[in-house]
Amino acid sequence: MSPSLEAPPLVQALGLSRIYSAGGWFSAAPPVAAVGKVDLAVERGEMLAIVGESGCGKSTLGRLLLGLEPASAGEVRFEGRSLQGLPAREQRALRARMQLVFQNPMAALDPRLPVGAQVVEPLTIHRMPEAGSDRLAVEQLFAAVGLSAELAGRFPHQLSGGQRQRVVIARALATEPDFVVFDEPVSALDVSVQAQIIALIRGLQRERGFAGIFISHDLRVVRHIADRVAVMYLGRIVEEGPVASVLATPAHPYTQALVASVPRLKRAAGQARLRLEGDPPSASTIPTGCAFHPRCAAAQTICRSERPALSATAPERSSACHFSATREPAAPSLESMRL
Amino acid sequence: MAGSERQRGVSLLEARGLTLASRSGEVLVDGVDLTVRSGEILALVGESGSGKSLTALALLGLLPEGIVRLEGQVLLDGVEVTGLSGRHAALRGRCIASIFQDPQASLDPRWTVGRYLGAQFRRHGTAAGRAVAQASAEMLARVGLADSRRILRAYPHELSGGMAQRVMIAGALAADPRFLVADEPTTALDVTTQSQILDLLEELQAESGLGILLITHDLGIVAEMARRVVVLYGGKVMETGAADAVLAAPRHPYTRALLASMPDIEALQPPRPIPGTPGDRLPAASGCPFQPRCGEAIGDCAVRPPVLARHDGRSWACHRTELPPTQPELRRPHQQPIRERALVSLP
Repeated sequence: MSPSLEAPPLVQALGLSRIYSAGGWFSAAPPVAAVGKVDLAVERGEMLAIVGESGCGKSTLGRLLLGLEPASAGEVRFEGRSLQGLPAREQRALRARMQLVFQNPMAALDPRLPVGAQVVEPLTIHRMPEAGSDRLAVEQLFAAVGLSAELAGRFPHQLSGGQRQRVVIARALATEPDFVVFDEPVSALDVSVQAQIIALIRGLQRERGFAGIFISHDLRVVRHIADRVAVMYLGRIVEEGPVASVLATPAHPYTQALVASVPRLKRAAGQARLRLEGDPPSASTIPTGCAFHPRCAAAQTICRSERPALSATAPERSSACHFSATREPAAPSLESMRL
Repeated sequence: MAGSERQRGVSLLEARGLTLASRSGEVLVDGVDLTVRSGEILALVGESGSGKSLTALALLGLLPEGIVRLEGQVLLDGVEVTGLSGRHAALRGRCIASIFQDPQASLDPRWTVGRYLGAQFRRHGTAAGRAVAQASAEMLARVGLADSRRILRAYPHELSGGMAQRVMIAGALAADPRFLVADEPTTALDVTTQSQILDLLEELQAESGLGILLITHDLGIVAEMARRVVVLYGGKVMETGAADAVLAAPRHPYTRALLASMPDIEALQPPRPIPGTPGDRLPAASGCPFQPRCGEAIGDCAVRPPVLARHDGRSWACHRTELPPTQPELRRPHQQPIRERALVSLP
């Protein structure tokens, strides 16, 4: 976990942006900045969660990091080498080391192919014939994700939601990747099964040492799966740090609002469920200055005109708020928000 | 008890022994009892296959094609309303409104919000003619959509998820109902929007005495919203009682396991999974539906369905919850039936 000083992070984003131009040449629709100037780093064996409301750009960021979508500006580096401009052969070799797990396993799997065959498909695609047979590889992968090898001959519709997600995870791990992007992998599952998949991902990560991005809107899940968390608002990272520390003492007013909105079994006295007014504005009309200012109770004049930079507020923590440094990082309180 | 409540002006929506099955004979909801009182939020908790949505549809008289009611009744203020048709069904529609998980999918994409709300008022006869526009605007304001002129002209795709759910709530309230069945109303929404919608439901319940059946899989929402809770599993009631009491000291192993499997934002320990899936069942409903996944199951659980035991305003259906869960060596299965009878006879 502690890389030597000269070793670059496993995956790094530098000023990474993705801008969609809406409509055709003559369209009056403004371009949509889905991801804006994101800097982040994922170290070996580390799990970084990306959280935020729908439309904040978290899934687009995940696809950009995998090179599945071209960046409009900035770059992604894998082991210090830029993905952009890499020869096709090297790109394919790299792709085997980076995998994606989706929210909806039913859409990710081929309905007409037995799941066993699908799990070893990446080995064929990446021309990585296993020492043994396909059958052996299937057995090993199924065992790794806690599935009985007897299920290999079944079709996706014959499995439960949890079993299907295990198949998708097994397939992502077939090429023994170093980096896996999990895009809301447990959101569609029942609570009792969700906990199984959380435990599975954590266990696999411990055994195999891959690094990952865990995209989620559920802070409760993130708390138990990630080492660090990055909070996104309208395409930008507004806060970042170790997950336990950020969720216990969020520094950015937006993170404070997210944390306070989570339904709790036990709520301390005076710690009411917080209501953040309004919807997140569209990425096509990002407010000036701090994008969060129209919904922020602490907003001052400067927030309307100047965009705050993501800067350190405490060791290992950073926040993009003009007042994070002067404000005591505290558990979210009702007083700090407009009600 | 129900009679005295009605005399006090408390309206009641009840399911009694509700049993629903598919045409092929598979029992999906098995003997469910529940009571929603006006001015109260009752949470109905369950995972997929628990029968929570079918129970809701039966209360609304909207059972889907291929689902039949084998037994049981739905009562509104003590009057049976199961299987009503025509004028009486419409009357029930006025008393019991509903909202669902995906508001965008429930709205006709070709209709503006104004046309949708207007149709709701006219259908229930709660506003007519020129009063409809005014009533629609007022209803939007009541559900927290202040910019009513713009929203009345909007099409569903122009609304955010939270706005669409508010429009659905406005449409449901157009009938001036006494009860609202809300089936996972915030599951598709962001946590910040969820918080707004939950606040709105609480306000409506407090202000207008609406009785709400809130269907959810999230025990955090139960803790924050509900006065009482019914926990369903495999079509059967596992446990019921005051929400705070049930969540603080669950009596049924399923409620305990479900609580432990919920990730907590503050807890250090990770969520504890329940082995298996909600689809794991015993053959032909022979015992307790949770038996295949229960870590505390004993011999009886696979062969005999547990009876709902009642005590202190709570009830639970388990062969062994009267035994201390920490001392499994004490269990003596042959004594179970006697204890059960003793518990059932308590007032």
